[in-house]
Amino acid sequence: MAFFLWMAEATAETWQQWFDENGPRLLLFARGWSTTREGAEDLVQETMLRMWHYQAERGGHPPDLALAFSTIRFCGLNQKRTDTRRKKREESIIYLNDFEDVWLDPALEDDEEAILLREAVQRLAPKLRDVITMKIWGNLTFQEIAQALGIPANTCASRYRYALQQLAEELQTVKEARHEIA
Amino acid sequence: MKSPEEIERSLKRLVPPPLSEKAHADVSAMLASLAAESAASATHATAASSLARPWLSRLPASIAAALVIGLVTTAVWITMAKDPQPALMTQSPAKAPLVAETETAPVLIDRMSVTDGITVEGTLTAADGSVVHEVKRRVQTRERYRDAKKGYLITISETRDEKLYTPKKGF
Repeated sequence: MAFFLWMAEATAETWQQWFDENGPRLLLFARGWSTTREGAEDLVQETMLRMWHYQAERGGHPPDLALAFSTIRFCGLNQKRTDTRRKKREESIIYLNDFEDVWLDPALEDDEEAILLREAVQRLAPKLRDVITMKIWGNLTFQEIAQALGIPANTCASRYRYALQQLAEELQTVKEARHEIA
Repeated sequence: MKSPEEIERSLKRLVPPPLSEKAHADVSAMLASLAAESAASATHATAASSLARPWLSRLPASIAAALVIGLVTTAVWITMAKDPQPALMTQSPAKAPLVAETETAPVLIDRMSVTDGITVEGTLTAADGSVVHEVKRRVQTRERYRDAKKGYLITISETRDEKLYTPKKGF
């Protein structure tokens, strides 16, 4: 019995460390699947629960980040499928949401370009934003992203390049517009 | 216009913020609760495993019985070789059961507990000043029995709500 308790404590500690390290990344990704910060945090919690049970049959250790992103996506899809009425309501307000609450920490980058870039990332199409999030902040390879999203790795790489190009163009456009006004 | 590489570098400078304190505490409490649950399940599984394999617990006795039978057989064979007597032949040790007959009662095969949902209902302050999370969880327990005599596989499922109090770690 004492052995099992000791094992349980060690497992909980390992998972806690994994969560402390990756929680912000999960939240950032989940934010793309929910309209509110609270909703995204619920999604993260549900994902942790599902992954715990999934990993329990595979040694009990914390999962790869790619699997975690994939699970968030699965939970997000499930959530939207279960309530179509709510989905319609959410879709109507999704572009009015202020993502600053969780998207990126404004305290850490207060220069103009960082803010513009953050806003541009928020405006990316969800499928581009997912790839950017997993690649930049999840440090996943295109192969891992492909597995998580269920698409070919080449498509991931294309979306990534397209997203970077789109961000560069948008950044340029916004900067030029601001300078014209000034 | 900036190159994609420059955009990539700029993006990497942006840091995702952490979860809110409450969400972080909720997940931490959930992990502690799940770990405690898995420890309890492992204990049950060990107990169930010994129940499901009754022959395992009888193995030492069976080995001892086999040794005794072997010794008796040898003794009988030596005695018969010296002075063959029909009376001794009737005490054939080969007819003695090596293993007890299979039990007729259903045998527990496995036992599994699954958490359906976890809700952190808040925090409480204990008498000693320590802060604990009040966690409500719904647990489904499933037990499977095999009735060897009738050939049935019996599954018993039970759902219950539990309240757990786990110490709050960190802030």
